[in-house]
This record gives sequence, C-alpha cells and structure tokens, in this order.
Amino acid sequence: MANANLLRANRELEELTYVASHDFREPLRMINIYTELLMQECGQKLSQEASEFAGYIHYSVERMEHLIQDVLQYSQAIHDGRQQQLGPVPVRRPLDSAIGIFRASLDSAAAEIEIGDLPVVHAEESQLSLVFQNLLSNSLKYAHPERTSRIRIWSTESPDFQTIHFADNGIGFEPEFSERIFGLFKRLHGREVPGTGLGLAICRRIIEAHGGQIRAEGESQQGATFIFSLKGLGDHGPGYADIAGRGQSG
Amino acid sequence: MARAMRILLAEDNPGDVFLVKRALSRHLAVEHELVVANDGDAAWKLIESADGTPAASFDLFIIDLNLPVRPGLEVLARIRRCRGKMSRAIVLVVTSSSSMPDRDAARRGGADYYFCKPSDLASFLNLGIVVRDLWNVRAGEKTSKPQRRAVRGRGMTS
Repeated sequence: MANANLLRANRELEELTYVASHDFREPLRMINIYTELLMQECGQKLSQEASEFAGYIHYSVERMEHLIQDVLQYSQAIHDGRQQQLGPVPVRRPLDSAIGIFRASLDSAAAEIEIGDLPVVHAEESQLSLVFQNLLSNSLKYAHPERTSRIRIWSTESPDFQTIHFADNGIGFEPEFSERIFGLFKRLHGREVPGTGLGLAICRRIIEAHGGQIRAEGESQQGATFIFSLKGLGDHGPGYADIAGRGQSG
Repeated sequence: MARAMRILLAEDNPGDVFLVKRALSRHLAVEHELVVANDGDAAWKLIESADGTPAASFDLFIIDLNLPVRPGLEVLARIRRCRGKMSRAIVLVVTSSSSMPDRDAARRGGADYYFCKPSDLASFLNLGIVVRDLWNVRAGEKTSKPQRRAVRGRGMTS
C-alpha cells in the first residue's frame, strides 16, 4: 500500500513537472518578445547601458529556456522509462543516430570517433540514442583546447550485462567529482561552458530505468570515460541469436 | 468582395492579441476586421450567433489551444459543425505547444494550419504572412482550379 502511494506521488510529481515545463515557457516567450519590442520602439532613445541591460534579459531568458528544455527531457525520460517498450537493440544503431544529430558540431570540431564492436542489448532505442546524444554533447563541450577531440566507444561483456565504454580525451575532471556530475543541475564549470547540468542526470535516469548502471572515470586534463551496463539478450531466446551474433565485444 | 474579411481571434493573453494584430496589420494587406474573444466560451457564443448570418460570419479563425472555460479544440469542433459556410472557413491553431499529440488533435479536428508561437518577434510576425498566403490560396480556389493540397501539406509541419 505504501508502495502504491509512493508510485502515485511520483507519477503526480512527474505530471506536474511535465505540465509546468510547458507552461513555464509561456511567460518567457512574452519577456523575450516584449524586450525586443521595447528595444525597437525606444531604439534611438536607449543609452548604451540600457542596451546592455536588455542583453542581460535576453541572455537570462535563453538560459531559462535551455533549463526548461532539459527539465522537460529529464521528466520525459522518467515518463518514458515507465512505459518503455524494451526490445533487442543493436547499440550501433542509436549511436549512429546520435552521431548523425551531432554531425555538424562533430565536423566543425574535427572530432575523431572510433567505434569498436558493439553488442545487442535489451533497451528502448530512442532512449539509448538520448544517452549517446548527451554523452557526445558532453564530450564536445569539454573538449581539450589544445588537442583534436577523440572519442572512442567500445564494449565489454559479462554473463548478465553488456558494458559500453564511452571515452574522450577532453579536459576530464577531478576523480572526486565522478559522482557529483550525475546530480541534477550539478556542474563543474561556470558560464564559460554552456550547459544546464542535466545531461548526465538524464543519462543516469535512463540507464537506471533500464535496470543498468552508469558511472564515470576521469582525471583532470586527461579526459573522461563513461561506463554503463545494460542487460544483454541473455535469456530472451534463440530467436535473437542472429542479431546477437554481430554483437560480440571488441 | 462585398465586405471586409472578418477574422475571429480566440486568445486570452493580451500580449499575444497585440502581436497577432501587429502581424496582421504588417503582412495581411487585405482589408480586415478583427474580433477578439478572450476565452473559449466567448468564441463559441460568437460563432453560434454568427452561424447562418452571412454579414456576421467569420472568414478566418485564429484559435489558441489553451483557452479558459472551453479549450480551443472545442471551438474548432464547433466551427466545423456550423450549418453555414463558416464550417469551411480557414482555421489556424496558434499555440505555444509543440507536442505531437496537440498537433495530431488539431489536424484531426480539421485545422488548416498549426502555428507554434515562436519566442522571437520576427518569427511571430510571420504569422501575418501565413494568414495572407492561406487567404490568397483560398481566394484563388474560388476562381480557378484548387491548389489546396500543397498548402495543407506545408501547414501542418510548421
């Protein structure tokens, strides 16, 4: 009974987050547009300082919009996690789709990506793509300024789990922060690096909803590695053997 | 045309009412009369009393989805149920929701266009261009062969 109450409370909280995320955008839209109008109407009369103030409003609105977008994605991840349709997914497929989404940024950073053999796991494909999108975005944001970005993705296998490793050669982080970076709105950098501090929290939420685990290893200036495990096809029957055959670890 | 084009705007946010007016006055370039309903029920009543009265009927509707009292989708359904020619009037759904379920519901309800309220001024004012184009295509249909499919297709993706 207590459990049922908790489930209901959680569900209500999720619904509230979802609705709020949509409704929060409304006033922001108004603030943005009417600041623009104010600027246009008062154009010549505005002092240098007033234009600067308008710039701050604009910056804050944009930042708030990003925050809301990420909160929305996070609550969506929780929501979908509850109703997800798990099936056999060759990890390469959501990875490729995520790389496709980030193609332009990866190209302009001249990033190198090396992909080893990847297994077939029991997962929801779009959610897994979201994990890769967040990891790619993370690697691009925290690239080392003095070297070409290199991202490597490979897998290892244990009896029950398939483990995916996602490593970059970016600026990394102090090992003591390896847990904190998965917290909601937790960031290790200030305004110089854009971001809301939700990307890795979303990854963790998704992987855990799949019954897996995610952790990070890093060293300052030496890059970061994200390691997550997902259930392999294990007992799901010989029907998947033909797909699974491609998925041996590299 | 005997009288000015009549537009009903169902919108509860005064900020958006102002923006829609500005978008229309900037881009529509057709003499028009705009009637504003601040909630779904007010819109409903205006439609009901105008149905079958050619002088009072509306040629085009701009409907927000998230309206007080009655949601925009009910207003849309009411328009499509009209006995007179208003049942075939152009309807734009204008909303801040970008969600697929809302888009689908608007399409199923018979909306001609789904305009997602942008958060910058210039993009918002483009609403006037959309209204102008939909209106011109509809006017063209009355005199020549229809080109409706092209506009319909583009409309729902925006």
